[in-house]
Amino acid sequence: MRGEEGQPWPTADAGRQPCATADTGEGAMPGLVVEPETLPDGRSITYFTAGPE
Amino acid sequence: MSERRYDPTHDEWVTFATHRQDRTYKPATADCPLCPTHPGGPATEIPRAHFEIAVFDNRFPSLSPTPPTPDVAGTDLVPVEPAYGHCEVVVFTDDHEATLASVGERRVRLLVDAWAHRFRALAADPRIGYVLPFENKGEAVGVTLHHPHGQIYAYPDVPPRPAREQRAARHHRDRTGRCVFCDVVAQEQGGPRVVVEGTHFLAGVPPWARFPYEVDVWARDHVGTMPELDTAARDDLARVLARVLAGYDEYFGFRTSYLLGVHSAPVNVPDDERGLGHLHLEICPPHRGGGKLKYLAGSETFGGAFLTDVAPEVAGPRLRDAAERATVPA
Repeated sequence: MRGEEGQPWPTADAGRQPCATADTGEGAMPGLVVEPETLPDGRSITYFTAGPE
Repeated sequence: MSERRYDPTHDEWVTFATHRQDRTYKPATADCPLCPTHPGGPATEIPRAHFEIAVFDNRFPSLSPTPPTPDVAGTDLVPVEPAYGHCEVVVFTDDHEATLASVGERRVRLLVDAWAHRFRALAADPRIGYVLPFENKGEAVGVTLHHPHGQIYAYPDVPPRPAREQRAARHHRDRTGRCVFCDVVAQEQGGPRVVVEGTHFLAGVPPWARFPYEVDVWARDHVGTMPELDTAARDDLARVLARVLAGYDEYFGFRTSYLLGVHSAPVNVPDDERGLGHLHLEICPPHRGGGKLKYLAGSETFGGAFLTDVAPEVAGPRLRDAAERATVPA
């Protein structure tokens, strides 16, 4: 599958890791913060924080 | 055991995930694994002391990117395959006592962005065929963790109900040249079954509601997936969804249990197939009023034929009035 600009969408380890470069699209709320991290047991976690109102 | 077995008598796959029998079951609030980890306190699934929305790989996944070899060998008649896929947990808030109906419109708006982000990330796996965000809320639908959260399953194929939608959409398009969901929106807007009218989304009790107070939220424009929504459409989806959920609690007078699912276009499929998909949410409370519950009984389970106790033309105005009365936190 390809992204909106015809580029392959990024994958990491067959998509298992959060794709830090895969944003939420053009419609994301201004100031949105997306923070991918790795849990101690190796699982992925991503935090989403709204920007200032 | 974690594997998928094909049912040739119904043309569908069934996933076995027997390790999930050991998953956390209705823990005490102090032992909630979805609460934040406070300094000096027990470690939970989420290391931070504060967060808005956190999405992480399910500790007890039904589908896995590294599935074990199946326990049994398949046959030509009943193939067996590893249970490939992804299962993520979406925690809506660090407040254990909140609900998606109480967190406010802005948090629901953030959830829309989180859904969009995870949809795009999971769809990037070429082995995935369908991404399904959903929420099981309340004991009445069998929830085992009360902390407000949903899940996202990424399947290696299109599950039966969305696949049936795709077939119906193709049949309608072949017959009329139009999208069936676009036609539903055109028919329902302004009608008696509407619950919340947004600028980009329309929420209403569908004429074919399978549950007495089912509400579907349809994109007004023909859009297939959450990442394709622009800012205005996402703002509107959050506004409509927050009001529908607050309206449920207002109408029933308690924290309403429900099943909520997001139906999107399939992924990693030809453009023609993808183009049939039309983004919409289905929200199905089991409540039918007066403290009674709607169960999936004989007709629904064995016939696949739903029997509904409340007319959509009656449920629609009730939920619309309640949604208008409800207070939706900002």
